[in-house]
Amino acid sequence: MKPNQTLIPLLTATGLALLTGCASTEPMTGERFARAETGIELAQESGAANYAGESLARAREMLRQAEAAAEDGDEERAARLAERAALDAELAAAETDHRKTEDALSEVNESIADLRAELARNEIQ
Amino acid sequence: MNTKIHKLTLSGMALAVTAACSSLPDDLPELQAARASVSELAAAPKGPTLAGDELNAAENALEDAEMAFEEKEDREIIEHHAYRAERKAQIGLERVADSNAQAAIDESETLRTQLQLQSREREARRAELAAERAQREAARSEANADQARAEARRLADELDELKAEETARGLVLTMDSVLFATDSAMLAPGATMAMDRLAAFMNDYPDRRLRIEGHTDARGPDAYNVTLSEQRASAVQSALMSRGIAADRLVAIPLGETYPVASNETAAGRQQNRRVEIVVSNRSGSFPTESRTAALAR
Repeated sequence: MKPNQTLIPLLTATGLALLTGCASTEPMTGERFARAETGIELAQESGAANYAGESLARAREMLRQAEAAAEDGDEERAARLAERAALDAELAAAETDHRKTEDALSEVNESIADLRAELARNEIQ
Repeated sequence: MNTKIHKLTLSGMALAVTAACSSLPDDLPELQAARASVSELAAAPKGPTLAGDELNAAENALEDAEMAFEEKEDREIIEHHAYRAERKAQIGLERVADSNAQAAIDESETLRTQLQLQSREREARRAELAAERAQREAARSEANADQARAEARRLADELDELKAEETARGLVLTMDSVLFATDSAMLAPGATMAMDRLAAFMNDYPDRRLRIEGHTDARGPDAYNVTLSEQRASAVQSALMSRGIAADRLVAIPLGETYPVASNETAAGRQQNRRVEIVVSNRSGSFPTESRTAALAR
């Protein structure tokens, strides 16, 4: 994507952005912001704060930077950062799922160990 | 925005600019990292199956990054594609790991169920054995109780035959004077059966002891009566010993005319008073009460 292709829409968008006070007006960018926000919310709800704190924090940071870029009128950068935010949120969600599964696995394995110990203790004489 | 305009105005002096600014190195670390992650996912067992979408997206993004790198696009652009590629690959790897962990859970749950079953079976078996043991114990106790009852009956029967009386002093057999000749310490022939029965009893119950008390009526001098009573008690003692009863199980005590059981005014009463009383000990060989102090025990 060559810089001069986006320059003119950028200049017009900037004006509009200054009027609206925040995000971009490009539909693709808007979609990306929505996806990032939704992704972060979903990750949060599934417990990413406990299981994938780093990725969740990074997602939020990316979104914050995206919003800042949009306010600066840098549509392109805003779009990229929003996409990153969405990806980080998706990773946070995937990490959360995985780690929860590992927890469940540990639990089952622990009960197996307990059962084994019990059986060893109660050997029939 | 400023960066973009800046670059735009300098595009005409591209050569000069690129000569002045540091050019892109031969390879970028973020690109290398992206390549590594994508390879990892592609190589992961069942990776393409479990995370096909992620792998495709990652590979496409990596392609974009490589192309941007070759076309010497802005570093930011290359970085962005590399970032996309790496994240997608990482997401895919998490999904694969999650799937593997789920499979492990299934296996473990199966094993756990098996062990629970084993544990329960063992519990049941132990309960069974305990119940069997309890049953055997109960049967044994019952058999013991039956035995004890039978023995008690036997004892009661024997004592019945001996005509033993339960008194405050314990079991007492009274041998009346008919079994002794008048004024004599010799046992009459009729006493034989009684002695046999008594000896048999003593043999059946080896823990029992006897206290043989000799009594007389009030006729005649006290001293004479004491001697007579002593002789009569001794006669019984000898009769039992000759039937094999150990001496330490018998004690003969002369009590003379001291303990009449009837009036000495009548002939009948006097006859009653002329007697030998045999007190039977309890099972442990002791007597319930030392009722009459052994006046002249020998």
